[in-house]
Amino acid sequence: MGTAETPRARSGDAVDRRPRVLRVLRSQLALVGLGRRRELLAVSVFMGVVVAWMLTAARAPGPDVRSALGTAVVLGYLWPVSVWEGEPPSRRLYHRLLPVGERLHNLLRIGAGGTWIVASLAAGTLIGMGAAGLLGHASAGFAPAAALEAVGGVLVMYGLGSVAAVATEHPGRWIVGVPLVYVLLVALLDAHGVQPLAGWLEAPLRSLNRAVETPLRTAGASAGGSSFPDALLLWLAIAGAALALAASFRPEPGRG
Amino acid sequence: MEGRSRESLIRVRSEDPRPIYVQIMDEVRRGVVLGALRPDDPLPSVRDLAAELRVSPNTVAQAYRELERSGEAYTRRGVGTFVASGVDPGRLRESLARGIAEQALREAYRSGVGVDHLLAEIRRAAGQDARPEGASTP
Amino acid sequence: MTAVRTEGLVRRFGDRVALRGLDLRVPAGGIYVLIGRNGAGKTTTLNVLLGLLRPDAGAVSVLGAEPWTRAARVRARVGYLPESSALGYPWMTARQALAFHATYHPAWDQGYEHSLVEALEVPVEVRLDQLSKGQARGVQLVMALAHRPPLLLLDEPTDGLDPVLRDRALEILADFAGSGGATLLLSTHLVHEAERLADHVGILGRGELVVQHSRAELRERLRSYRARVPEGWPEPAELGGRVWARSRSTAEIEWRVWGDSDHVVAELSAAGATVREVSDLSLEEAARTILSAQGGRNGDG
Repeated sequence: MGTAETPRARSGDAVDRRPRVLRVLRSQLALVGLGRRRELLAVSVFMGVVVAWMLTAARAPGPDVRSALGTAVVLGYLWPVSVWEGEPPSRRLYHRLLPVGERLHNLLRIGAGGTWIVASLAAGTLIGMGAAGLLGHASAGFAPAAALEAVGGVLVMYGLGSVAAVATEHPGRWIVGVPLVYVLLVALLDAHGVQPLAGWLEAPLRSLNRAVETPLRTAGASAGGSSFPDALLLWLAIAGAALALAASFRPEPGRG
Repeated sequence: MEGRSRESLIRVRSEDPRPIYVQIMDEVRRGVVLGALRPDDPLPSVRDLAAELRVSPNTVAQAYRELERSGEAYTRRGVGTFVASGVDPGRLRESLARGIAEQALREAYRSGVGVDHLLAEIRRAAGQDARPEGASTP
Repeated sequence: MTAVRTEGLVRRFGDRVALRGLDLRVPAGGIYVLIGRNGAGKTTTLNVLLGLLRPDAGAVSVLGAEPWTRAARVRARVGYLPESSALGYPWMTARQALAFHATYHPAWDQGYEHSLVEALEVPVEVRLDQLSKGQARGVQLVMALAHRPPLLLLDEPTDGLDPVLRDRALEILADFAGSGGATLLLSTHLVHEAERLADHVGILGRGELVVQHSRAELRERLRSYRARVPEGWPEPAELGGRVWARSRSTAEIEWRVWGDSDHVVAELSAAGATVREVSDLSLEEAARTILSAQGGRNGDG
């Protein structure tokens, strides 16, 4: 029959039976990259189209990348739904039972997903810029610092979306619902002039806006109230802390 | 449901009232009595026999230990278990026959059939069927 | 030495107590068969052993480690076959799924994996979501065994397999048990199949172990006694052991008693019964006797 072929001493504790962290990261990168290759391609293509359109349709001198960045950030925010598709907390046994700490494993999946979405968006952007260039609308390009802050903005929103994906049963509802409620609340308070409450509630939105808008400033333009990198770092910290918490969530397979 | 070993026709049955390790021991004895196993012949490894019979390896190991204890087999560390050299097929046949007789008596008693009645029926049944070759005369 | 040990394990789900003071002892190097009816707590027990459920009370140790707090360490040493046939990522082929699984298990034995895949007839190029139940089960079995863990936790191991594969799976498990002193814990209600593999038996009734013994001891202690009794025979209160079942036909009574058989026969004879037969019970009969009694007629629960 064949099972008696290679008798082997019991591995037990003599062999290290747990995979190395880097190995697990590679596996998760492969998992997301292979499992979501169609979605990643679609994101790249979409991003490329948006950037190309924005560059070719721009009227003012110099690129206006606001809409491109907005697109990227929204895509990053929605991406966790795809990363965790089919694996809400109640149907995640395979992932959880692999011999890696659950929190670490969740964070590695989130990291792998983040890596891919940034890569996909960046590739799309470059392709869009290249396409626009071919059509005669070469852009001045992004300053490296600006590009970094764009990535930071995407990662913040990706991180916040990942909190919902890893810790809730229906992340879609949260991802769409929370900002909706927030925006409605702010609009309502503003409309009724309920200060300073409205101002306080708006502050995170404004600072996030600024964090996202940083790359829009081309070299030489006035920097204005420059708390931008700080705002981004603050948001990165918030998203990171929320993720560290959410990733520790260990749902129970209960029996009704 | 049966399990059969390729190597030495060892067979155990779930419906058999005897514990599995006893069945294995008796099968080894049967092999010796019938000449399929000769002195110093190797018995299948514990692992192989367990797999073939779909039984726990500890059960096979127990059977081999008991055979060793009764002098019917010996173990060479790292090599395996073998039929003992001094094993006497005649004596084994006797103990097998005794086991069969005891089982028949148990069945008979269970149904209220007495010893003499049973003996008479055995003779009658033996007289009716063709005697198997090589069977010794009673 | 025990591979798995729980002491006073308690686990509740809301109002319902799923495990009430479970004292599980799985000796190392043997095959332990856990028997119980649906809802008795078998799957809950396995979930606790895997670190998926936190105990409400009691101690748990799997290969020397506490599973809730050291889940990764425990899972690295355990091969788990879940009850459901859900596994891996549906878009992967079996080959991809096994390769993925292998990256998480440095002790993976590729040669062994291939021989298992062949024996279980796993169609490696087929996507997981297109496998039949039996094929999916085969993949799960390969995943559990190919890294040769020192402990296997198997929930209904032959469930969903056709008769041929069922037999092969049992052969594979017996072979695995014999190769290097692994410990197997089989949870099943198909007792007949587990009969030949069992070294130790645990019968789980409503959240606790009613019986936990080696197969040999269970066979010796719980026996069937048939006796012919005269008409109007006054049955003695004491039979020399605990009576788990009793049935009566016209002239004969059968008892299933836990105790020393010589003692029981002596008691019965002394009371005037003619003991016709003392016989062992198959594992299935023994389990059924004990679990039926659990239902309330004879047993104390």
